[in-house]
Amino acid sequence: MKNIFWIFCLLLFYLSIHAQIIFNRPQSNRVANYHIKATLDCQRKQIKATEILHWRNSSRKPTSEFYFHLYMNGFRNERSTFLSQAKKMYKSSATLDPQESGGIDIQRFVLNNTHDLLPQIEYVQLNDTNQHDSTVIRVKSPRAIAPGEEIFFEIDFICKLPKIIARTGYSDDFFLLGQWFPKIGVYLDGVWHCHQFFPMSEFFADFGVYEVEFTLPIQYLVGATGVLTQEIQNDSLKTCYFRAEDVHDFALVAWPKFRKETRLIEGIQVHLLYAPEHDGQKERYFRALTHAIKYLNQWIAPYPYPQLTVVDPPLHAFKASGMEYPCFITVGSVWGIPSKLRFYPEEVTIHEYAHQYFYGILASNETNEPWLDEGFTSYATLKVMDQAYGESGSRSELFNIRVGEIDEYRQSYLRRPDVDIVVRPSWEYSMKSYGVSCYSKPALILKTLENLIGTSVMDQVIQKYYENWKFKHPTTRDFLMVVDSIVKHDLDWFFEQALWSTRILDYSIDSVYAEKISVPSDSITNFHNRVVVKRAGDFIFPVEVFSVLNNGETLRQKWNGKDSVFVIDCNSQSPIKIAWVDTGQRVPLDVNWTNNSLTVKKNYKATIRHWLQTMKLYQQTLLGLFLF
Amino acid sequence: MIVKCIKQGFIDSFQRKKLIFIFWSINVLISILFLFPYLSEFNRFFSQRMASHILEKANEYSYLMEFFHYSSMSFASTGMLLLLGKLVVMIIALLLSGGIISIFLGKRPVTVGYLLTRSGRFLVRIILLSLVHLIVLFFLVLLSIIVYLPVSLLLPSTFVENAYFYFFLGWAVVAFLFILLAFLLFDLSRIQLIDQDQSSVLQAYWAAVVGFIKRPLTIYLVYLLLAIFWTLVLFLYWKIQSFLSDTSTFDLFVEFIFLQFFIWFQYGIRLSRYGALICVSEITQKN
Repeated sequence: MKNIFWIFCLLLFYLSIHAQIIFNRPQSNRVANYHIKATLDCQRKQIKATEILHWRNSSRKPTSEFYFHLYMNGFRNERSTFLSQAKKMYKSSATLDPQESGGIDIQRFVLNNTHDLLPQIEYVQLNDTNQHDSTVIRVKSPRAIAPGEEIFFEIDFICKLPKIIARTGYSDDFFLLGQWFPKIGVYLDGVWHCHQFFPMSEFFADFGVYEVEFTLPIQYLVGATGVLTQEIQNDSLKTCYFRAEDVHDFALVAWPKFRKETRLIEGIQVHLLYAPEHDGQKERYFRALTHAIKYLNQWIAPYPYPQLTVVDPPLHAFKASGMEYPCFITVGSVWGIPSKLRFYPEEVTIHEYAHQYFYGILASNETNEPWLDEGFTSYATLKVMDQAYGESGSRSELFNIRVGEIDEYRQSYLRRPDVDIVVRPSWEYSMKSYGVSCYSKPALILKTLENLIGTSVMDQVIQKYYENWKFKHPTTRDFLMVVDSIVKHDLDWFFEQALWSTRILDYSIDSVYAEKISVPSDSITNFHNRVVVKRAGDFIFPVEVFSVLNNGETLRQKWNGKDSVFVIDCNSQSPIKIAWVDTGQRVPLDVNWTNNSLTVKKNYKATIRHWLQTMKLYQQTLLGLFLF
Repeated sequence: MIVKCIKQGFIDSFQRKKLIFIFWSINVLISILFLFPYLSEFNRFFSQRMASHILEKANEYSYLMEFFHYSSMSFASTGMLLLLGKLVVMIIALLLSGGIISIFLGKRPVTVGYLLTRSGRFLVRIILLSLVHLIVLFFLVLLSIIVYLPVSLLLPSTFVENAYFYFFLGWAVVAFLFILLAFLLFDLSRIQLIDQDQSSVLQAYWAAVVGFIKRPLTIYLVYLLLAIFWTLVLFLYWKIQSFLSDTSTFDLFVEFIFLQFFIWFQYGIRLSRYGALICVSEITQKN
């Protein structure tokens, strides 16, 4: 009895050190659980590691095939799908010196401690025909693994880190470790989802528990996805023990020159690791994070994890910035950036934090439906930025020029409003369409939807979407079903046009005029007012036409927007002054806001003002320099 | 002596208001010329569409931004025209410099006939001299890089933006001093060329270099102080301008009138460098 007691005490002690429990009960189905022991070789820029993966078949179908991502092989040579496509996109910045290449070499691959799978590893290309791409492997088990059955893999590997091109790698003595270990694909309904690594595709994985023991030189400061449970120093090396629960990826960062500050924001331990030269912007990071955490806690649901690591990389490692991993984000800034310019660091910080919800917890398939994470995150960013810094100047107020977040989205959207449909796999987007179709256009679609159904209903939709699908893998159809359950009227017409078509939404006031009606018997003058509204695009959307008469009287008329022209005639004692379609700019999907209004009389004051401004600009420009 | 010559430069320059008027007129004329396509193209937007927007007091930027988007072609062409206009003003200033310096040297009142005759007389030599100036300018910029190069040894091996920012700022200051020297020599050589009516531009340039070597610090300081004064006036203008509202028509009108005075003053300072340099040269010769 005494022995059992001591064993129990020892077990508790062990657990308290190595396996601190984060959640009292699992938040997810914990399909893929990793235990990784890794050592960073700073000179060779590589990691030597052993990975034990416990995997459960959560599908209803058995499987004897297993697919793993070896993302790092995307940086092996310029013939990989990632680099060959990235080269076209980023030109020279995606060129890789062979010495700076990356890759994963698997040295041992054992199933259930009995079957050596190493000899039968097979590189497969599921999405293209590029035989040189080795970012996905397939192994086969001797027997099929039944639904609900659990197996474990032991994998020894060496991961050579590339010089940072995107999302992961090293720059001098700075290391960002993303997608650095063999990661199993997602087996859903009898189908493996294990896409190759494309420059425009991100990631998709099952939730689980990660226990990572990471050894590196003592002078390095480390940040990671998980909670640091213990740190043991041994001569010139130290080993950091991290644990993360209910996450689907694990990232690390290490740099000896980092400065670190930890603050408690709304009960979350926020660790900011920043470059010393960005010390002046530390407060800006924390302010932006406070805004984001408070807003999203209220708007969606409280952030469930105990910690968040925020990484501000130095400028030489800037390609590591602007990336999201669970409980871990890389942001970015430049020394001396004016406080009124808020793309760096505020916007990027808020955006990456919002990904903790749309990607981190609502773990949609980023490869198959990238709009679900980037689009929703952009929409959330818009909400936070507007609330934190004011709608009209949230992005910038430099030189008194106010640029809102929505202005930036529209600027991107207006360039290519019809370049591609929104819902499609990331690798199918053209280079020009990815930014518009995944980021700005979906955000504007969601904002238009919000204005159509009302903000409070939209909030309910987002909250229910989160509640139903947190720690799961929602799809576009799942989101639409949530919308259907909250909004009682049919919105298929909207989603069909917005998500699965390239239709253009544009309504304009074509003409507006007032005509005197002379009635001899009547002493009062009457006017015949006419407004002609035009649908200039092929996207049909209900709009409201707003008119103001000279006597201040206002008229509002709804139009279903179906016909190509809508004529409003009205007689009144006062002539019409202005007509406006979509007053208040509540349809951000409208591709041209400049044709939405028209006045009957010309406003010469406004014209003169702009002439004066233009003339002033020209005269100043022509003035030239002292020396001429 | 430095203060005396700068003062003399100002007196000489502002006594020749006609010259300032000529440059101001060129500026206004080109600006109005470029305004015409803008007027016809964008009239409806500003007078009828923009107007309703202003009535709603919405964010004007988002509206203008979209206007720029839909009119980007017209704006791009206007931008190109403006660049061309800037070049035209520079060339005019260069071509008329023979006549301007003659007026300053002879302490004569400005007459258009005399200005054009003298400009024409020195036209070819001034153009040749400007070619020499371009070569000297190139070498002096190169020299500024070579002189500054050892400072790069202090830089960190990896890119740290503030260290590099101060490094480049330091180089910009050094380069500015060298560029100013090139322009100073160009101005001195033009004065020599016209004063001595020299047929060889190289001889004129050499005479300017010799003249400069006699009193390098005084001459350079006169020139540098004038350049600093010009910059200070520019900053003062920006500061005063920032107090005026962008949205009030009255403020815009006040700002526009104020700009005209500023332009007069700016051309006045520029022209005063000829008077100041002539003053230094005369004192140097006397001594």
